Amino acid sequence: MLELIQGEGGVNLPDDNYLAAVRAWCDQMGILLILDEIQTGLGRTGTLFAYEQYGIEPDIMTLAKGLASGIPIGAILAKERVSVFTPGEHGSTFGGNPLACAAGYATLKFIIDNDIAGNAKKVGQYLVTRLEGLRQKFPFITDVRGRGLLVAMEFSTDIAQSVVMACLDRGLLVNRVKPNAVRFMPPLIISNDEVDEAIGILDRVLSSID
Amino acid sequence: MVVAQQYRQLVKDRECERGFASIKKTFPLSFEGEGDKGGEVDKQSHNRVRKMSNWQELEHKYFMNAVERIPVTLVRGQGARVWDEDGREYLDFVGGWAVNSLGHCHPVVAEAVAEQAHTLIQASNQFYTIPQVRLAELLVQNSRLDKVFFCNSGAEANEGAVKLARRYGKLRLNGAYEVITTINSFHGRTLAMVAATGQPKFQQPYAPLPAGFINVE
Repeated sequence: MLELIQGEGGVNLPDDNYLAAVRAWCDQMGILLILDEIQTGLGRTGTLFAYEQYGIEPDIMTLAKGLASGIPIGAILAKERVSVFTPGEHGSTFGGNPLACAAGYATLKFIIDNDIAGNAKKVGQYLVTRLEGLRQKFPFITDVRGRGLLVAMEFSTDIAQSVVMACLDRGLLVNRVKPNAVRFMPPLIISNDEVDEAIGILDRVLSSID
Repeated sequence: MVVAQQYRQLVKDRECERGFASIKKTFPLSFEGEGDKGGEVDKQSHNRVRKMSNWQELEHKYFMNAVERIPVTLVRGQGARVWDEDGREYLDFVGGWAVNSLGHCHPVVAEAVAEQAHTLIQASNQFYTIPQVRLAELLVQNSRLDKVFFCNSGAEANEGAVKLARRYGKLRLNGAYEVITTINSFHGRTLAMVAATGQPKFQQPYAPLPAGFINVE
């Protein structure tokens, strides 16, 4: 069971051929591949599902988070041959309830019809470009990484909490993902304008660190 | 519906400050404005010295101390903006923890939820219901997978995926049951998903963990 990009672990991207190699090994050994797209799915990384970017298909995939715009929901998807549950073997009282699924349908339809994944890719690239600009300016930024609108910025020291609080005071919410890294996971509908605004705040915050 | 119209207007507005003020007038919430005014600004760091608000004190009183929070109480969201209990506005690059794909309270979603809440909220899976079929169909049509099961969170989805894989293993793979996951992964907060999550700090408080999970580099 794998995430395609480790989210909580720090926005860690796999090496280029890693996922294809895992898929091939699973095929060879007859092992099922479960892909956890809970954070990477629903357009966040620039395609509807992140596996599309790595040329592989999972046997089982899990979704949640962005599927219903904040209404609690989760989903297990599987290939026909793997879908071996018989009646009574699994269940959920609330799972699939009309309220959550109405929100999910509205969300997924909007994401597909409006190419929200494409927007995430475009704006995500702009975000990374602007963050790279900050990296040129501040030598204590050691890394900028991510795909689409799942992006992290790493520092040479454990200043992430200070950065988060300073951003807060200037009107920007960001996430401390590791003691020395902050993560950006904005709504996928933002434009370059919001990126510019966030970068402006980050610039001021990082300038005051020394 | 009135609520949906107001939100549509907000989205068109683009001036979130004005939008917030107007929606606050129309839909005042009883607790707004009761919070602390946020504390002084430290002259050296320019950072606000934050004091705990009434709501934060109540959280300490009633809520389990399991979560590390930033001392902000959020009360409203619209698009990529949120507002705290003192009316301060923030640009949201946390997105509800990578959840709010369409931003906060998108009119399309708010309308769908409001309409469904007046129609049928919960029936259980003992019966057929339509929204889950429509969503399942849309997911299958737009992915490389064939069948869907809905639950209520990512952790539940991962738990169900492992159950499905183990069922498959029992039926087709001579009883294979082990699940290989990676160091630095995160798969959820349920007991089995803590075992799956390759981060010792999440695992240590709960040994012995459910068997059959191997964390690798």
